[in-house]
Amino acid sequence: MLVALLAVAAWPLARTVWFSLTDATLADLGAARFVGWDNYLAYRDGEWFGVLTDPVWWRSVRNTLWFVLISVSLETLLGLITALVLLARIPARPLLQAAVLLPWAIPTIVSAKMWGWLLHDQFGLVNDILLSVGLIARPLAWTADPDLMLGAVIVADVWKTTPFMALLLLAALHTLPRDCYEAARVDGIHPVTVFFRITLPLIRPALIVAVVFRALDALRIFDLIYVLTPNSEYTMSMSVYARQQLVDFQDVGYGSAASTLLFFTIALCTTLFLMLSRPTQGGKA
Amino acid sequence: MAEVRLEAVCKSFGQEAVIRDLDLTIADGEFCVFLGPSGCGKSTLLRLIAGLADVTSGRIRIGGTDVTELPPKARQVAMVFQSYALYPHMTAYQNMAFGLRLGRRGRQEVDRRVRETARSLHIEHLLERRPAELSGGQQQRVAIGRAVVREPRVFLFDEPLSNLDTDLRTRMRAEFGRLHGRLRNTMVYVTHDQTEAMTLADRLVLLRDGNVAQAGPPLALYHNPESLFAATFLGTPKMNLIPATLVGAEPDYAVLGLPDGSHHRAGVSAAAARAGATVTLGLRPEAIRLGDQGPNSIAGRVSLVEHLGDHALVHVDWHPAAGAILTRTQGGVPPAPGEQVRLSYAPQACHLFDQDGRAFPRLPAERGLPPGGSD
Amino acid sequence: MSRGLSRAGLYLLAGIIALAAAFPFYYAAITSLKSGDALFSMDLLPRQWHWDNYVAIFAQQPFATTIVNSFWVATGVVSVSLMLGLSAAYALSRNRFRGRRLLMMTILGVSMFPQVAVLSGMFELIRWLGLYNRIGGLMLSYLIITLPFTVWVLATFMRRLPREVEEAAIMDGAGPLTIIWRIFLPPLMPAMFSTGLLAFIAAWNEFLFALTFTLTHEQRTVPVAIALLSGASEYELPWGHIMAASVTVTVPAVVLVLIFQRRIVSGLAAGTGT
Repeated sequence: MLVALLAVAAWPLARTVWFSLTDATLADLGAARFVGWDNYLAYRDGEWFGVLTDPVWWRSVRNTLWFVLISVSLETLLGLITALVLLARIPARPLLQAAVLLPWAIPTIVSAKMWGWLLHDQFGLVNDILLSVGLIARPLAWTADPDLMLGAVIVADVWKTTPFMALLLLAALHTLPRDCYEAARVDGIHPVTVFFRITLPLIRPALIVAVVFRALDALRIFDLIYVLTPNSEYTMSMSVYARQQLVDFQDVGYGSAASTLLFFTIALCTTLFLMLSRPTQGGKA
Repeated sequence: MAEVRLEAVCKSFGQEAVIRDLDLTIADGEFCVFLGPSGCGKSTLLRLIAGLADVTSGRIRIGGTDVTELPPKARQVAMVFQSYALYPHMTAYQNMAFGLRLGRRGRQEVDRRVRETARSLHIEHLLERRPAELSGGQQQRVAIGRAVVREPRVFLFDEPLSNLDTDLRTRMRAEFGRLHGRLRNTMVYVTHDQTEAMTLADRLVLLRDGNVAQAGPPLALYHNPESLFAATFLGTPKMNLIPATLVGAEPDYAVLGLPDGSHHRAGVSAAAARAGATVTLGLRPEAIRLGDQGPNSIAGRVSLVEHLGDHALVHVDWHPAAGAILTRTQGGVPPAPGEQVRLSYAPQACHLFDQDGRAFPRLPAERGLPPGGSD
Repeated sequence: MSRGLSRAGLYLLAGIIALAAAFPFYYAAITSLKSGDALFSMDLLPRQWHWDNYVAIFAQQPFATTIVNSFWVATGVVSVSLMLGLSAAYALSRNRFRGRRLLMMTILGVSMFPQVAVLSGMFELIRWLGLYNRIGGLMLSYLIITLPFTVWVLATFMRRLPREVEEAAIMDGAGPLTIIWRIFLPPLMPAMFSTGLLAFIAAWNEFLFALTFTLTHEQRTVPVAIALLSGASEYELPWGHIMAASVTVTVPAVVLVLIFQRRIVSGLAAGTGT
């Protein structure tokens, strides 16, 4: 099993890092020549070259970070609300849970297409509703207007992944000791106070885990953006950028450099998260 | 049949030594109980005999064969676990048959042995049930059956009764006694419950910090503990410990100075110690009587009385430098809290320990001087 | 009074959540049943039920082939992941060795790998194995996605099985394989099932590898087929067809999810150690 994991994970990763130091092309991987750090940063004839000098790459970094920040925040908030509603004893709860699971089960590509349709500038339902309510005066090009595109991506992502967040938080909420709540009720503490003083601190470790998971997942976003807003540098994520270089431009060396940078960005984020979240786990280790 | 012999056995987990250079021989057919506080290494020792853990050094022999390097199945031992560890997805029958089937026994032989064993344990009617459909006591019987059916040379029991409620525990305890009476196998039984240890053991091995603190028949340990540890670990309620000074050591008795200044006689040979040495006097609650009888008596005030039906536990405060003395009174009307009482005890009832917790030898009753309170 | 009010608020919230979650899919389903110009009217109920779009995707495109591809890839990945995952989980959860925690964290880390980071290396590997544009190549590459969490979840579940049961089996003379197959597997079946389901859905939905490692229509999986579904011209996407295809591939997943929602929830929870 370790061999299998090594074969499908470690080896390709190592090869990718190697390629990033060569001038390999997709057509002929074998003819790769070692070029050192040229794909990352190089100075030649009075000009700087490499991924790190490409404004499009920097744009993709900005896009990715904004995307992660906004969509993960929204997902956490909405996920928590959803989890709390699912925890309450209301009729038809299984039905509600099923509805919540629906977006999670739908393939990302399908949800991208669905939102593409809902947000369609001429025939989309969203524009239609907003127009009829009078919130907008003319149809908006959600998936083409540079100012709105990232928003559209975020909406679709929030819709698709909030259920995941909600389920993880729900599982955490289920493990909370009931007597805490009964004690709080006996003491006559207001439910809102109970939430902020008891519930939130207790599920904090689970919340952090869920947020980390989502953030790491969001950092590598590819399919949603690739399908919903193709070929636009206004929403291009780091993954989309790397794949474009790799496959569309056939420049394996350069694309691998971008991939490697993404990998290390994510590794860095993971390390930071782990370091930040450790002291809050009670210091039991 | 099988004798179990442990020779200079050591076991450590990383830096931590759990069993230290332990020698022990368990005679063939003996019911041997390992008793000790948690962390004394008794379960580890059992797992070493079972082969579930490997010794760091030393040898283990079963029936004369060196089994140190052998896997569990080659040792011909069977084990009953604390949580019963029945296979949850198998019926009682399948649980019992599993080991036999793996041993490639014929279907008919397996069936015969499982049913025979089940009959002897009165679980025939449970054979088709799964563990989840059995009560704790029934699961316990199936677990025992799973061990018995394999006809091992040695039975190993790892705190098998600790998950049962009190009533069932008492009944199952007797069951283990009967099982041993019937099978006459070597049995090694680990527990932290001294009642189980006292009632079941042919030989009780008291463990402490990875070595044998004392071993012998249960009553020998009870009456002649060699250390303060053995003295206080056995017996409920615990032995009273009173700080004292050795005033004089005669051949037949010792004279002790108690915190209240009085001098008492103890039927103990303390010749090995100097006069003036600090010692600890140990008195079992049941050896202390109410009333002024004989040379050893203490005045005090009753602080608490616990009525337990056939007997009562009376706590008596007597001197600020010593803890309350606990006595156990049988019959009669116990005193009320606040009452002034006198307590007395016979010199023969004394246990005496030196500063390192080693016991001085007790003297037989007839040599105790003078004849104090009789039993 | 405030109790009733907050109750009403709760129901309202629940309603909004349900609507927000389910509506886009409902609308997609409605769209897929419209044909011609009706597509561009925004009715929330279909006037008539047209199956034209469904007929079209199966008749005009090799859509059935892609579904079969997806099915085989997902099934293959699930079986391999479960087999490898079970034995790995056994090794990881039953033995306490130095660095076990680190290894577990590494495995979890691999599941957070950006797929694009292994893209070029994987591409080379797949070409070298002669699996380019074959579903075998996809199976291999999907292991990087499914294997880590399969191991993780199964190890979590396995650690819940009491150690003494395993020891009882050792005393009974069972070897490691017997223990895995006859002692651990039966009680783990529910866990195997939910892990398998999660792996299946992950493989069914994967896009990046499927897009990169396949070339021809005949080897594509469903998500790629949908993404690349094109109409007469570049500016005229066949929305009706896309929605029909979307509904078609989603329905199996949704049915699975609805039937097994409890198991999925417990599987997800175990996967993150919460």
